[in-house]
Amino acid sequence: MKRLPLMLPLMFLLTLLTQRASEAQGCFTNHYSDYLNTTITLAADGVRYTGTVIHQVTGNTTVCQTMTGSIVHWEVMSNTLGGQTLQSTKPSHCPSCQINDILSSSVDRYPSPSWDGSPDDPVLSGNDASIDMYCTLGGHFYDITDSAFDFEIAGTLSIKASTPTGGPNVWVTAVSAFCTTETSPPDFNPNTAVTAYFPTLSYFVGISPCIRFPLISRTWICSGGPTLNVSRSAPGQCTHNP
Amino acid sequence: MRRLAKIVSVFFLLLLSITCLANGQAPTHNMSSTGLYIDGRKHPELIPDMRAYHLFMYLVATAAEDASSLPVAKAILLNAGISPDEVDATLVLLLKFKKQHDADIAEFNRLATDNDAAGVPTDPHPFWAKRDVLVAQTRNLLASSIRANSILNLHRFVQTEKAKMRVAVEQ
Repeated sequence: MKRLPLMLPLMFLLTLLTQRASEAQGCFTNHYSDYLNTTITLAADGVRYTGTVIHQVTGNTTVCQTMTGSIVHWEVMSNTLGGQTLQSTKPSHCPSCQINDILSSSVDRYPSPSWDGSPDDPVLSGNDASIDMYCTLGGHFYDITDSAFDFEIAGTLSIKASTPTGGPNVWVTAVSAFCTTETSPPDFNPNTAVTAYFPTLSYFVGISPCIRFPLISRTWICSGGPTLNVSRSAPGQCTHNP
Repeated sequence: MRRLAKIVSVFFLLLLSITCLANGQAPTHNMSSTGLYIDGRKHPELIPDMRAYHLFMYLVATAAEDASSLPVAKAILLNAGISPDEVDATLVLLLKFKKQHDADIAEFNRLATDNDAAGVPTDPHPFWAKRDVLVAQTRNLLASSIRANSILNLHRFVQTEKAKMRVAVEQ
């Protein structure tokens, strides 16, 4: 018992090291740039105006040496203009290959009375563009949107998935989400609950601050937080933001 | 002393639980370390001219390649302050730039495809350097082909367009 204060910092350090190692397994570094051009031209009838949004993405991915030739990447580009969304799936390419892709969409509108001739006319308000990169190795891994970063405190209800192990002061219990359909999968999705006592109940509530950077990914990054052993009989609501 | 030991224990138990929970997160699809970006909406002044001209010239040239979007390409150049009588000459140079850049991309991609198949990393720096040289050459050609006032207008326009760009930091 006397050694506990010394052992715990060591365990914490080991846990941190494990986390760093798993992060280092990421095999891609993206170098993609994009440019969204909005241009208004006079339509063929000489009365209406055509708003055109051209979204260009260019760049490549630096990959690690474990990649193989069977893996391909492809991007899905989306333009939203005048309430309509145009989506285009681009051809696949090797992970390290350079891409230069463009998606152009147009809409014809009568100019708004307040239009001063600039490309910021309200006929083009709400235009947006995004690109998502996909990989056969691991799914979706790159995203550009016009949103800023998001922050939340996520609450997740979990159910025991195995008999707790450890003790006497650190009990580790495998858990899975016990959320309602509407909130599944939760933003914060732990698969273990760590408690300082033997958990006598089958359910846990975990609280965690989470952040996401939509310019990079829509995945929430959660630090984790305190876990409370609770009594439940039906799935509860977990934090979920699509 | 015992009290201190208890406080230390509780503190590190909390840290341990936080870290374990973080480690216990379900695997996500975001498996990469993502490069750094300069967001032109926030810091247009940090986007190098070379990168902004590359994006601008390639976009205009791509629009000019297709007859249906050629009027848009011309409208962009007119908005940029290129004189109407110089628009066609400008497009000729931009199309030449795109043709060479596409050839460079094809060459790089052949190398990258072979390297990926062999499990060998591809260094993109030579490609980026070649791209920057091509952009500089095209700007010089433009400067010697159209009037100085148009070049000045174009440069001002590209600076404003930086607010619509996000540029990856190439390291």
